[in-house]
Amino acid sequence: MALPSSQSRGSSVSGLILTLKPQAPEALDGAGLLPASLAGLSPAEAARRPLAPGIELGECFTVQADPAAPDHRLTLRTGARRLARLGCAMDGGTLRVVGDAGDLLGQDLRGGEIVVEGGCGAYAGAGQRAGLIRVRGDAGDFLGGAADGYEGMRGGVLLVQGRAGARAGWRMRRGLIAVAGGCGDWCGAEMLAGTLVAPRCGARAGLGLRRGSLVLWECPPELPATFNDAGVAEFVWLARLDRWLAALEFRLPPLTQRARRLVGDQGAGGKGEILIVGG
Amino acid sequence: MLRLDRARVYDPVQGWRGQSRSLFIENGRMVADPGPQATVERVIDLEDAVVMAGGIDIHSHIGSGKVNLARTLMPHDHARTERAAALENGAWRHGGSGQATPTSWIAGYRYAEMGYTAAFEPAMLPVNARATHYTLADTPVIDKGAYVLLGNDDLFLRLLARGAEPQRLADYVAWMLARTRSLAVKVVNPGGISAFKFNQRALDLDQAHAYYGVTPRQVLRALARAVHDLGVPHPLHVHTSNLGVPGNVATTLATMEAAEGLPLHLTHVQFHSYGKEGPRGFSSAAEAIAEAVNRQPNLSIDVGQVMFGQTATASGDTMAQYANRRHAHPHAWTCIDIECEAGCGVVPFRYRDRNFVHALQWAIGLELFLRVRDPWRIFLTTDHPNGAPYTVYPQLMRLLMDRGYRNRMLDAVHPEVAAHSALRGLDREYTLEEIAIVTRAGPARSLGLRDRGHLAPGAVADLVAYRDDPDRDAMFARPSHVFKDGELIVRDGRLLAAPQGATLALEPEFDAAIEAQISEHYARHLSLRAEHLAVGAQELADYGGRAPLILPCTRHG
Amino acid sequence: MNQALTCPFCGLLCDDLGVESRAGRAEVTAAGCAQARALFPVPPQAQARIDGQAADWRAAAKAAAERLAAARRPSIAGLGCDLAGVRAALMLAERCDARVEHRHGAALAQELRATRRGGSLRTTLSELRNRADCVLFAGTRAAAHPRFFERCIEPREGLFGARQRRLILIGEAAQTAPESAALEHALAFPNAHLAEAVQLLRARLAGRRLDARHWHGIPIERFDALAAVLRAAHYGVAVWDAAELKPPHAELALRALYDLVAELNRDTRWAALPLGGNDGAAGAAAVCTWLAGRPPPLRYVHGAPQDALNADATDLVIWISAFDPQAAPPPDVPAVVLARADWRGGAAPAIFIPVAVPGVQRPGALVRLDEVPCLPLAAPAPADLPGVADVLDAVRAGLAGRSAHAAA
Repeated sequence: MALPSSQSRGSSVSGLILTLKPQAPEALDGAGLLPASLAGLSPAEAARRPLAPGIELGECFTVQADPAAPDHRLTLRTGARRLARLGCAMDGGTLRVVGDAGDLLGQDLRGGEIVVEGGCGAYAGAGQRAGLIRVRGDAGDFLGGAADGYEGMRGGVLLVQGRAGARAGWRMRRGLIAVAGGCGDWCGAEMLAGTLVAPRCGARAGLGLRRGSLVLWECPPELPATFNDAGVAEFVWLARLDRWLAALEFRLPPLTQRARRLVGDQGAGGKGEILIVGG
Repeated sequence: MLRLDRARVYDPVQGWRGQSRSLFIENGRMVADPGPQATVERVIDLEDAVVMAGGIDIHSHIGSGKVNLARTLMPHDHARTERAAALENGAWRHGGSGQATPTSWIAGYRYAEMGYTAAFEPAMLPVNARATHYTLADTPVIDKGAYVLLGNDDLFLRLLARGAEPQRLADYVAWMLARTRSLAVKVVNPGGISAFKFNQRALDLDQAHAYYGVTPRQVLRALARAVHDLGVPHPLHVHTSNLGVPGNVATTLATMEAAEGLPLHLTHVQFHSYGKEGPRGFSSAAEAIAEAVNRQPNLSIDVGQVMFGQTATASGDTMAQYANRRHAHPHAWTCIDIECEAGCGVVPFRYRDRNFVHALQWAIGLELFLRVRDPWRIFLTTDHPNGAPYTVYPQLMRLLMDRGYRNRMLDAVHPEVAAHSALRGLDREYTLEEIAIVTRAGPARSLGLRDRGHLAPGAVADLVAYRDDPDRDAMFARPSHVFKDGELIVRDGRLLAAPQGATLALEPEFDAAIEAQISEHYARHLSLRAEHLAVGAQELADYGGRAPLILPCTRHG
Repeated sequence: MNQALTCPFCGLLCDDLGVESRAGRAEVTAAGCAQARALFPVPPQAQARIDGQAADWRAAAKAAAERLAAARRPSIAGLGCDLAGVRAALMLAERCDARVEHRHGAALAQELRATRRGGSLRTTLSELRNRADCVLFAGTRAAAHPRFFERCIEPREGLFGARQRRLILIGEAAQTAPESAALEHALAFPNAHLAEAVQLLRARLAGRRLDARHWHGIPIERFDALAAVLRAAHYGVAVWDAAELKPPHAELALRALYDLVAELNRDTRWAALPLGGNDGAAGAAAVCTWLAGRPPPLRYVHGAPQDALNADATDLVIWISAFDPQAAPPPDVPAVVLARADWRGGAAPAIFIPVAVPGVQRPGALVRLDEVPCLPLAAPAPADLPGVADVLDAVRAGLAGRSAHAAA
């Protein structure tokens, strides 16, 4: 997948590494930590940028140059501390989080790539419009879900190597979510459209599903009674999805074209589907 | 005593048209020139700024429960916040949030910062009166008041259906006005909100209510008569049937006639001036409406101008708002049937300049402004927040005053609007005097605020100075000075102090028999007692507001 | 004797109580429920304490201000008070960047989240009482509102003549034995399945075929029968209480119920009546919304209100419980408790300040559970105790010059 590269303002400048200081305030909003807003700045300049009203970045982070990286690349070392809203409304460049991310990772993401080496909190990818989020660890509840004031995920790709919590894909509207470790209960609840792929998920998947597809390898427990079995068929697009995920180097069991199609939620219009791969 | 020098005053009441003069203020009031011997403690040189009385918004939803509903449905609007800060006089400027539906503290500050010193909540339900007055008490700086919403309440409809005497109905209206501390009476979709509860989805002027058999025309006439007989200064404030429906011009014109010469104020008329001509079945009927207003001196209107952007529509008209629900943006809406009294409907909405209907709504509002000839009978409103938040007023004033600007904006909106609207052909440009009428003097006179809206000796010293600027938007957005009750509260668009404003109300008299009848009705049928509707003077003061200022219940001669 | 007083002890705000003052204590003598009879009598006096030591309430407020100034992540919680108290709480929170939450905030949040994500048609108590010919109790019997049936359901003679009401219970409410023959137990199942049951109803109302013949032992035909009853109503009301449903997924059930109501409303009239609003919750939501743009939980950051996203750890709680003598603050956090004189909600807090009970010892106002009516509270047994707002204002005054951004 081609990602837009942000404009570099000077050829000689490098990326930055920000390391969270232990004495930084507990409740820290990371929405301002974007590659584009720090691109082209020296570490000293970056440290003087305001992080929150009355707080300079340097008060909370140690700032170093990252000579190996281009200037549209920003690395955050957060450790186990969870900064909320990392990559909020980011529209290009690369944000790498070494450690964990808090709630609302990549909220309203418009472009670029976010890579989290650890896990993330609730509502990762809330309102995401485009771009790519990769989470190596586990994700919290409401992955790609509709945080207050935001719709669910609206586009782009959200990949979680670990497990996702409850209600992944809640009110998702477009885009792709793939979770290698499986999802919790109420997966795909009230989904409006889009695709969510996971080997397995918890109880009551697809409740209130309007359109869109849940692609699973195992039939979820306690499937809502408002899904009807439409039999086994071949779905060519699953092969395309498989190739796409492979190109993104995302590891999942192979997707066959053959799948059982469960149609629902009949209470919410009945235009959504749960595909059980292999039938 | 405070003297303001070099003030180019526009005061239509006194016939002042911008001549530079000095103004004198003592104890919060305007006073006559005391002569050279008088002691003047302070002199402020206004450097030939344009000076007017403080702005008065005759129709702005800033206090009622439906605005709170709108806030809860619009978390996006409240993501942008304002920090609290200390003011120069050591008082506190509270924090808040919201653009289309600002929180009450900052709603007051923003009015003051653009030179408005009074605003009136036009739709207060009796059961919500206490919360409305508390919210208005939390709306600082400006003077305020509310219009009680009647005409869909079951007791009134029963009285009317049983042929109650006009005096009885007037007593009922008087009781509601006095007990709920209201300044005027509003009717919304007369009888229609109630009819919706009986599953009627439309109710035209002469259509019978499914249960009571009365028609909106009867409701309207009975209320207009009661308001008139009681001597309530402001005429019955009417939101006519068929809000927003293409072709509703016929209903609006018929409503004007239904008054049969009684004074009537038609509100947010832009939303009621639609034809159904043209390929899209939606057209401007502003000309017919304006002609009718021009012809009938008993009528006044406010416009409810639409401006582009995200806002929320909030109305008592559940029937119309339920029909509008599919236009909700973001997609969340609420309609409530309320206490056998009325209802409310909130539908968040985004007006887009590239949308034909929205852009034509914008043009229709401007057409009304430009076609109604008597500025004393048309008031500048956006029906905040329904057409747009009140913070667009400076831009709206520029649209009225600057034809070139207006036509450039017309060029930028949906291309078919210019062809379907006569707007470009309307050459009129509002003068500063006309602006002073439609934003202050006119609303004050209509509401019976005798000592507001002008600067004659004895008037409340609410006044504003604007540095003259051909860009009227910039000029009106950032006054150089705003005085409230004689105190300088805004300098160069920045708030200096945040005093509490007055709550203005009426106390008409009524026959005691009606009180017994109302009490009996509430105790027997409803889930609260009538006496609990009454808002006490002391409780407003206890909450942090001021005891209501009672205005006389007599019309201007 | 005081007649027709408002009872502040649940969200219904019954306003027909007779109350007498005997030896400084209020006693309910007419109307009212067992809860009102138990809670109106409150001692006229109690001792303010700082770390167990008796103190004047003003000194206690000053001490509270000192601890608040030293706290990094304070919160003002419980929030069981009248409108003026909530307003004072916000003005204090604004000065010290506190979190503000209500004891019933979880239920409030479920309701709020459901209404923000689609349409909602609602109604109020008087409409229900006079119009409803069909009431669907979804997962509740209104147990948290003792006089709900007496005041809103049992009156048969309404404004529009005599009403035959069908009263239908679904969910856990239908699992226990009926206490009245008037209640129809349509579908019994655990409340955790409410969202799915409502989707089933919606599917059958829309005429959709289902593979399933049974659901949790209930034949699908029973859903069809219920759908037909709902559709036949002239004015139907769906009643629920979010507090009886488990967050965070209760909102899915509420959303499904609102959608069901909207679908029924296409042909006939239906509306929802969510119950709740106890401990002043409806008033707290209203005041927080008009002053801070959102209901609790919220927090102030640099004097600006924001949504409070996650339940952050707090290091000092100002716990307000003017109505409920047993409401306990969160454990393991130093607490400043502003509560009624007979408060016994746990171990002795760091600071205790007794406050007047609005509606008993002090006038005030509250918003009823259906959010629109706002009723006055009287003071049938006035006491020499400060109000919640008085104490919070005193704390704020003690904070002057200490807060992080007082002059920023």
